[in-house]
Amino acid sequence: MTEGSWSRLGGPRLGGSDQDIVRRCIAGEADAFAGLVERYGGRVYNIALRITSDADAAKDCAQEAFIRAYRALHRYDPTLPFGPWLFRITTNASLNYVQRWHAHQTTVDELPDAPEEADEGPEETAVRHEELAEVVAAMADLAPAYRAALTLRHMQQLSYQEVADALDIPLGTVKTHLHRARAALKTRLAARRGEAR
Amino acid sequence: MIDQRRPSDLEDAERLVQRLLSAIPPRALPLGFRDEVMRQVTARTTLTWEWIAAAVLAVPSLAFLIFQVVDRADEVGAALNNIVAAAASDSSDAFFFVDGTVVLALAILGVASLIAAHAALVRPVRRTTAR
Repeated sequence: MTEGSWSRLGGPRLGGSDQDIVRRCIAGEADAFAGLVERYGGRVYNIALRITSDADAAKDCAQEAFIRAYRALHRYDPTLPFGPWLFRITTNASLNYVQRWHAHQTTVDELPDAPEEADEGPEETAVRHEELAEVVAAMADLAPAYRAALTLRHMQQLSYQEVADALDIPLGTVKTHLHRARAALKTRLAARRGEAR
Repeated sequence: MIDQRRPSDLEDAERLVQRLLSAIPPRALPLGFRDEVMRQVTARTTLTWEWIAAAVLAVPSLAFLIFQVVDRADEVGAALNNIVAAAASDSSDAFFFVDGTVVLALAILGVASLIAAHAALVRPVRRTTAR
């Protein structure tokens, strides 16, 4: 993915390009790193949240990801986009956390309030919110590696190659993981809806 | 209208899951997240310098003290014997000689230890309590 297309998906272009900020950080201007935290904080936190299924753990993992990224900036290749590199560190930190603590808490009620659709009444909004909560809960039941793949692919909108880079696994394995993850998600959703009736 | 929020290489088989998952609203960052990260980033930079300063002070002093012990092992042994003898008896005729440079090396080592202790104590503590 080119830098241009990455900016389409990423945040605002305040404070220069990612590579400019990295260069300034490496030159000793540590405060410049705040620009990257500002730009990618939300996405990093949400990746960690979906993998750990725990808001406190997600905050820890997101912070750790940024700290690790800062310490490894000299190893970052500026010819490649910064986002997938950072997401790789985030995914590793989150998966490590899950392995360490076996944290697998399903927090169905942690879904934030989504902005109401203009043509939606309160009842439709409530139903939609409930459906989304079911999806989040079903996703939290999946294996951490599947959660990571689904999060990067469908919530962060990464291409197959970027997901492969972020998870550090071959492209074919990513496709297999995603195929199985989707099937597992559908099965769990169907089971949850069956229980609800 | 073209949906911008989807991977560029989305396949037909993925559309349902894509629709479901992309509809989940992202959670807002916890308050103070950026400041907390930046505090840790700058703290680590400061701490790195503290560790370097502690090492610069401690290593020559330690090397000097080790050299003294190796080079004057008999004198050090005799001094230690005198101290033990003085402690074990009522007499107060124990005699041992301490070189001024040894005192200086010990003092510098103490300062280095204080700096290292500070760096070790104030390092950012990650919350790792079991949940």
